[in-house]
Amino acid sequence: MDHALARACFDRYSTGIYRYALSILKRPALAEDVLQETFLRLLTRPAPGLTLESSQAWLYRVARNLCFDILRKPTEEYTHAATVAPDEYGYLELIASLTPQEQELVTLKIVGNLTHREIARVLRITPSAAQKRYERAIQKLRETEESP
Amino acid sequence: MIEQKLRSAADQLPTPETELEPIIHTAHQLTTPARSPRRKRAVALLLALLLLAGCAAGAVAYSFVPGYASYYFSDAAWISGRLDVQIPEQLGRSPFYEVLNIHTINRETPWYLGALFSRYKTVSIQYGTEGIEIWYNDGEPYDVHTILDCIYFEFGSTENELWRHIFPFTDEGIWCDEALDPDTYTSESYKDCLLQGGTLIRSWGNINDVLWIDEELKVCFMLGSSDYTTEELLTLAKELIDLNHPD
Repeated sequence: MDHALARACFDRYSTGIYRYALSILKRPALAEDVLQETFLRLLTRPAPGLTLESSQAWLYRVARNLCFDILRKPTEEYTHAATVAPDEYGYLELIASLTPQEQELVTLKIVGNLTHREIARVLRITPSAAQKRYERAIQKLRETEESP
Repeated sequence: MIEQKLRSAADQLPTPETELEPIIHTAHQLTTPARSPRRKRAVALLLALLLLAGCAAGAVAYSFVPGYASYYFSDAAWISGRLDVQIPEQLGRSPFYEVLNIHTINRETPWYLGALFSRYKTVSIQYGTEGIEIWYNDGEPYDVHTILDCIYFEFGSTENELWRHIFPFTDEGIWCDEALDPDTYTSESYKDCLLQGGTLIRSWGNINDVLWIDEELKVCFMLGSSDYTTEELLTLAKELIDLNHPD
């Protein structure tokens, strides 16, 4: 891939992808690994016809697969990487009451600024399902916040 | 309010230490052409074919559990011609934006084999306009690129037995919450459901859906939006019915 385009993608999306991976893995070192591998794949094996805009969903999809590759391994293989406690970062604490799937969807929207359609591309669900799951998760958070 | 709070908290998350230059260097090393003997390539090709055959056999062997694979097209006329459903270029105040084929596949089927192992195909069309929405973070406005006046228009044939996995109707044409994907919906999700002149209207939060079955075309239609009211969606449903039945 064209290095100028890769640099533009890195400037625009690397922080979001890192934070997305961090919210899934809860381990900063592993999130850095995922970020590196994601951009390595962008440089060595990019999907055909990627542009700065269209690469966003692709990059998140690759990062997601890498995160789940790590989580599929036996825990002892990555316990060397320090974990962050949910209360260490306010954001993780705020979404802690959601299911992992809901946390992921909310993170794609809030951290990544992805549209529902882009989220649907990342999660391989229908756009309306992405929209509805997001609305439901937000409603759940609202109720959690309002409950005494 | 909660979304503002989330955005504000997300901004406090750490930033990565990774830099791009070392990755570019590694990528350069990896992509330097390797001198592979022809025999090695043949073995790699054979292994790839065996892997593909394995995936295919595995996909066929699994019992049906719905999953989805999505394929994007931008040509409404092509889809219209193939499904005998007329699709307008404009719906209400929203222009045609994008059309997507959704293949219902076995849960374990890899998404990239979706078209090969499709069990049921539906079409999802998005209407709306790309635009900028103003969000707020700690009272500070900022731009978010999104789709404004968004409507999802989905439809699929009722002749395939799997249609009720997507569209929640029973044989009597009424609400059927068993049909719903439990990952997405619960029976409490849609309390405001009513059947009005053969049209199912439901709402949850600020999302409104209107569903109807076209007995003649043998197609179930669904319109969903959080930017349009149910009354507006009912009007659009009537327009779509008229478009598909000009007589």
